Amino acid sequence: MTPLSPSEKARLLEQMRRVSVPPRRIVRVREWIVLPVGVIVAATLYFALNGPEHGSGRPTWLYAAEALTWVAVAAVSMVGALGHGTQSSWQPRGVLLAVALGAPAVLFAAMCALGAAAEPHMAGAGVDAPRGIKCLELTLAAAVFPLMALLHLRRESDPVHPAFTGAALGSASGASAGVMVEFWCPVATTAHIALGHVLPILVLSALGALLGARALAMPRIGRS
Amino acid sequence: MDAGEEVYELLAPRVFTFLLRRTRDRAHAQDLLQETFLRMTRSRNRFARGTDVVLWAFAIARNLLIDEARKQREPIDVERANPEWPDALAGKRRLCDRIMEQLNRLPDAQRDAFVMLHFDELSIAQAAQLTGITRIAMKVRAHRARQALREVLGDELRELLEVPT
Repeated sequence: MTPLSPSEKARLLEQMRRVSVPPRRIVRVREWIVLPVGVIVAATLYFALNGPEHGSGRPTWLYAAEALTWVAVAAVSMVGALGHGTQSSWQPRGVLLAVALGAPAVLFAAMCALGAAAEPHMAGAGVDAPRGIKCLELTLAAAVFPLMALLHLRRESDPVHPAFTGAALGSASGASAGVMVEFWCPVATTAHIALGHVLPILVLSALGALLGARALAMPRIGRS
Repeated sequence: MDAGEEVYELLAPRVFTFLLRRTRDRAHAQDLLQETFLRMTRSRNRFARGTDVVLWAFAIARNLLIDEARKQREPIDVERANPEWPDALAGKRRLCDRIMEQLNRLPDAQRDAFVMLHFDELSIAQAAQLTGITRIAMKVRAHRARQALREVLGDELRELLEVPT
């Protein structure tokens, strides 16, 4: 069965030839450039808010362990959110869900464990709302750029589950921004970690899902 | 032959059959085929080398069908007067009609799973990725569809109902 007549086929091929898109390599480079730019934005916020002094007072081992945990989770979640499946050009939904929900869960568990190991008497202390909200705002502020930039660069690219991809990008952006906030914040109580460090990642994940469902989905008929 | 034409020659017949099965209208399937190829061209820098290009094309085509069904506020119309039967059913017109009748009684998700596995000749892994569900969920949907068909059609479907891997 011939799908199109010779003239229809020739017209389609001509239309396809006229479509201009940047090469795949350039697209990948742009995506990965977002990350160092995001680091610069986060570093600017860190120094503007007197980070080196504000974040001091923790034992060196705790400082190092927290930083390593956040960097590792941020790197893994970013690779998971930006990567693709072995068979398909999109990530399986399970991987995206693991990034969207797994990153905040792992960070919460790890930070609580580290906090309890360093200051057992402080772990169960109540929440200091203003400090928690400050960390929450800082994480959101540092994560907005990478999230928006990645959603923009990946627009109209996901044929299967754009909302899940958006949620994973939100979570990965939040975890990446959280590295800087972790350097900045010396508080390690469970309530503070939940409010100031994990909640913003969940908020970004939800925001990513909402925006991703619109921005990442392939254009609808009549919209292109 | 340029790259676009090569891709067209490779994929157009399969994508067209995929669309024709779901639209039952040759002209409509041709329109959607052209739209699918234009979408693929626009998103070609998003295609990951080394992954399954057929799956990618089917995903884009399926998206178009879903969008259109939403726009028209109608369910996805799968496999009614199917012009493209698998070889196992060639020449068995009455059986085909009975399968169609039963398929149309199934829930959309089960019917879609059955058609993808048995008519579009996708593997369970491919069909699962195409619909964004797990392999287990795809197996369950297909199993339920087969079970429903088997209850009505019995052993006549033995050959068709072999599970693809």
